Order: sequence, then structure tokens, then C-alpha cells
Amino acid sequence: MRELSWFYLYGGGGLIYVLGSVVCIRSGVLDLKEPSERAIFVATTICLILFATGHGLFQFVLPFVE
Amino acid sequence: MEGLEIATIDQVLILVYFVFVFGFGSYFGKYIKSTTDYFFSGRKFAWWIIAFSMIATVVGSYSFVKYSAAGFRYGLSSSMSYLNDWFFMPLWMFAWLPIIYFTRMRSVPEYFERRFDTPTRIMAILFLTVYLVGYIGINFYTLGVALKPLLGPLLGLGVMELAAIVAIATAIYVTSGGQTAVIMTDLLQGVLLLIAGLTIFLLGLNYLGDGSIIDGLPAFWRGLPEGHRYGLADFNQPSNFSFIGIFWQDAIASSFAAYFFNQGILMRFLALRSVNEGRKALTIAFMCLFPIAVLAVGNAGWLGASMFHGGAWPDGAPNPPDPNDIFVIVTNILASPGVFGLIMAALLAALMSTADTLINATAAVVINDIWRPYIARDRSDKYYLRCAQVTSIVAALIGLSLVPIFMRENSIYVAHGKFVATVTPPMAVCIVLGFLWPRFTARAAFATLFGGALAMLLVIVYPDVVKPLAHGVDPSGDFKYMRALWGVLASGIIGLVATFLTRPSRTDEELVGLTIKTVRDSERQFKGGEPNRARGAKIQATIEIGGEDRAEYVETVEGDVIAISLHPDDLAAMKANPGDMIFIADTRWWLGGLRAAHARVLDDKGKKGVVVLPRSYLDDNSLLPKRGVSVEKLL
Repeated sequence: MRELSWFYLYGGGGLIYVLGSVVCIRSGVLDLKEPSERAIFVATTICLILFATGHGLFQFVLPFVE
Repeated sequence: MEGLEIATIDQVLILVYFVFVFGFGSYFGKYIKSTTDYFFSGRKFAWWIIAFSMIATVVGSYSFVKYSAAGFRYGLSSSMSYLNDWFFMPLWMFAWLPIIYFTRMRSVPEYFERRFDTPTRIMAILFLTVYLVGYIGINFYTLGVALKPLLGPLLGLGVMELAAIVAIATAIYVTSGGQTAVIMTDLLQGVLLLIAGLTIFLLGLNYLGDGSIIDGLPAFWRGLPEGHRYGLADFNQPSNFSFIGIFWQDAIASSFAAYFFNQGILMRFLALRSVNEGRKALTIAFMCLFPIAVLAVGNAGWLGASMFHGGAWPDGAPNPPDPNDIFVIVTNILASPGVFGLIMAALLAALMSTADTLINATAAVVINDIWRPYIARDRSDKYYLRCAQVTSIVAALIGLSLVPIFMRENSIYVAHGKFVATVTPPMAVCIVLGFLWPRFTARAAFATLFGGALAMLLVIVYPDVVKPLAHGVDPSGDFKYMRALWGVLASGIIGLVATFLTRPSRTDEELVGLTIKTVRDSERQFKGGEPNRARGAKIQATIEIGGEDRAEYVETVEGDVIAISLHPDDLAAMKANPGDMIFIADTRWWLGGLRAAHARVLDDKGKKGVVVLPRSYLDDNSLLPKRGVSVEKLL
């Protein structure tokens, strides 16, 4: 069931993140043409991918390394 | 805590640190001249101050104790709670933060008044006051629990007495220095606790590697039981530490509560000089500082588990150790006298820095949502400042009076979780629907808060109601960690149904700035015109003292913002125009905005490299006329 934890976290949490981003872009509060807003959005998205990768390593690979 | 000996030098160091923080916080009382200073530090701080101070606030009094205990019991998955706050980041940074910043909101209940109506605000005040004061009680309780083995023997005091001493000291420096004292002490304490946490980890690796940190890492890993090596907990077991319970309680309910309606955290971000600084602060905190904080607060438990299960547990140490004491036990094993005292001082730092935030936040709610609008209207700002200071002390005392209640709970984690899960879902749903959905009505908001609270009470009395949503979690723990999911669903359904059964009471004009679709309008209102997004440079200037008549300078009544003339060359360098907002700060960057002021460009008739300000404005904003200033455009 450990695998399910990762998929649930990044499936459910990722969905909230993506939906939140879409809502912000469509409503105009996040303007990707504005350099400062784009930089923040790119940074947080990279952050999310790094967390997913890190948690993936600790969920699927590293526990089995002696 | 049997078998644990604390050297006198360590106890003295802890006492000295405690006195130092008390003095350091009280020092900032000289920067407090108005309620805006007291609650929002004049909205002047730089992102890095807030990012570091946030660490000390989020790493609360319970964190070292709670996450070390969880780390000892369950391993690396104890880190989950600090690494799952990012779901709401786009909505928070681009929608909620601009909404509360540009509308100059002073409290969360004030949003409920402006977005909905007075009854909904009153309901929100009740919820938030319970939430904040309860949190203060939990923090003081954990303070007493953590301090008892450290200072109890030296001072001959118990949990309640130690909690009382720290509560009074914290209340005094918050009362004196307000939000500035909170931010500056939290900055200091945030840095300290990160250093202390990492020091423990390095000492642990050194211990496990027989004098080599590099050899210690594989030894640490080998000592961890296989079940302790996962980054995420098992999906639905055990009932008090399952992934699904932590997801709904911590990642969804607690994270949302912390960033969207924890008055203390919101006030921290309202103390920033601009919205963009807030985005930077949160991004750096999430990307860099929180992962370090995870290591800092949890590693004592992980090291303890590796040492205990890997055969490196020293003779003479408590055996088996109580997980709730593992942070102090492991630190005592690893650190020599003196170093141990410093690390424990950092623990004390984490304890005090959450409590001070909550005390200041409670005062903000009481003054801005109860005293100012309903009890004593239209008084001077000095009067409200005095009331805020008295309220800070009263809030601390009420929180302290709750300590005996929390002493009856057998687990800090359970006590904290039950409280948060019970109070937060209705508020969370109300705020989300409020700023995302203009159709969401005032009556529906009231029904959501009231009905959601009833739904949470129902589930406390009849825990089995949650069973269909429990994702296979066994019922032995009364589904305490799954109540948040029930609360979100119940509150959401009530809100949706009630909206379609009622008519909107607010016109589109009344909702400007309060919903996501009108954030840009709110930005224009805040600036008083179209925002100027051209990227300019920061210029250096000298201060010249002008006439004392404020009327010559003040352009807008709200916030008493000064309007000043600048030279055309300076305006060109900043790419600023008349009407733009500017930020004037002492050139010493490390002050982070402590000596700074907002202003507005009046025209281009000023002298080159000079800003002319009245003496009273300099004094109010702690600017020194002999020092140079940097000037930059904000909007």
C-alpha cells in the first residue's frame, strides 16, 4: 500500500495544484507574460516536480538499498 | 524522564538564552507608533526576513517533540507534514494574498464582513478566536512539557509553572514590540533552530560513523528498520499515523488553515512591502527552508530509531525510550555539555516563536473585529494601540488557563489534530467558495459555517459516520484523522445547496477586490490608478528635512501616504511616473525594511538624488536623516 500513498499524494495534490493554476490563469490573476509572475510560477512548478521525484525515490527505490 | 541528566551549564545557557530573547523582543518596542506598526510592522519588510521568520513560526512548539516522536516510531515518513503544503500555492500566491493585501484587510473576519455580511463575520470571529486561543493553549502546554526535564530540576518547577513563566515573558515582549518584535525574534530563532537541527544530524552521523560523518550516513541507513525508510506513511495504517489521515488532516485541512485563515501567518505576509515580496518569501520557504526544517525537527527521532534498532543505543540511556522524550534523549547522548544547552535553547526558540505569533494575531482579531467595530468606535489610533497591548496579555493568560485541559490529553499529536480537524473544514470551504465563486451568497456562507460546525460535532459524537469515507482506516482511533475529509464534504455540500436556494446580497461593485476575478481591479484601487509594470532600477538618495506641515505632503487619507517630488532623472532611472508608489529604505540591506517608508510620486519637480520628507514622517518610520536611502518603485 506504500505505492498508493505516492500516487494519491501526487494525484490528488497535483490535481489541486493544476486546477488552482488553471483558475488563476483563466481569471487573469496569474499573467504568464509578466516576468515576475512567470518566474514564481515556474519555480513553484519545478519545486513540485522535485518533491514528487524525491518522494518517489524514498518510496520506490531507497528503502530497498542496503 | 528517567536516566537523563542535564548539566548545570546547559540549564544556565537555556536560561540566558530565554532572557536574551525576552530583551531582544522588547527592544523593538521603540518601532511601534501605531496599530499598523503593532499588527503589520508598517508593511515594510523584505521577503527574506519573512521567509526565515516563517520557519520559526511554522516549526511550532510541538514540532521538535511531535515530529521527533513520530520519526522514532515511524521513520522518515514523519517528514510528510512539512512537504505537502504546496497544493494551494497558485491559489494562495496569485489570488488570496493579493485579495487581502490590496484590499488592506486587517483580519480574516473582516473579509467575511466585506464579502458576506455581519452575522457571517461574527461566526468567523467565534471560529477564529477558538482556533487561535486553543492554539496558544497547546503551545504553552508543549512549552511546559519540553521545559520540564530541562529546567524543572534547576528551578524546582512543574509543567504548569514553567509554561506560566514563558507565557508571561512572551506576552510582555509581544505587548512591547508587536509584530516587529514577533518577526525579528522569529527571524533570529528560525536561523538558530535550523542550525541546531542540522548540528544534531551531523553529530548523529559522527556518532554512528565512529568519528566519521561520511561513514555515519550508511551506518544510519543500515540501522533504520525497513519500515522506517519510506518517505510517505503506509496508506491506511496504523489508524493514528496513516498516509490518508495525514493527507486529509495535515495537507488539506491544516495547510489550508495555516495559509488562508491563520491570522498570525497572514499578518506576517501583510507586513511585507509588496505582494511580490510575499510570493518570493513563500517560494523560497517552500523550496529551500521547509525541506531543511524537516531535517531539523525530525532527525533526532530518525537517529534515535537507527541507534536503537541498529544496536548503537548507549548503556545508561533510557531503555526503551519514551518516543515523546526522544528529541531530548538523543540530543543529550550526542551533544557535549554546552552544545546541548545551545541546542535546547533552539528548541525553546521554536516554542516561543509560535506562541508570540498567535498572541499578536489574537489581539488583531479582538481589536479589529470586536473592539473597533462594535465596542468603541471612532477612537484615536493610540487608544486602539493601548487596547491591543492589553489584549495581548489577556490572550496569553487565557491560553495559559487552557494548559490544564491539554494536560489531560494523552498525546500531543492527537490533541492538536483533533482540534484542527474539528474547527477548520467549515472555514476552509467558506473561504474557497467565497473568493472563487461570486455567486456564493452571504446566507450560504453562514449556513456553511453553522452547518459545517454541526457536522463536525456530529462526527465527534458518532465517529462511525466517517466510516464510508475512511479509505480502509480501522476504527480503533475513532477515525480522528479522517474527520477533515468529512468536514470538507459536508461543508461543501451545505454551501452549494444553500447558494442555489438563496439570492446574492452583494452587487458586483461591492465584490470588487474580494473575488479572484476582481483582483486586478483591486490592485488599481490600491495604487489609485493603473499599475506601472515597467522594470526600473533602485536609486540612491539623500534625505532632506522639509516643512512640518503634513498637509503639504499627504495625498491620500488612508494610510497617510506621503506624496513627494522627485527629479526627472531619478524617475527615469526607476521608470516611475507621478502617482506611482515608491519605497524609501535605509541603504543597509540587512535591516530588511526596519527603517523604511512608503510614499507616492507627486511630480517631477524634485532635486536630483534627494527626497524631501517632514521630520515627523522620518520619526514615524524610523528613518535616519544622516543616512542615505534607496528608493524603488513598487507599483
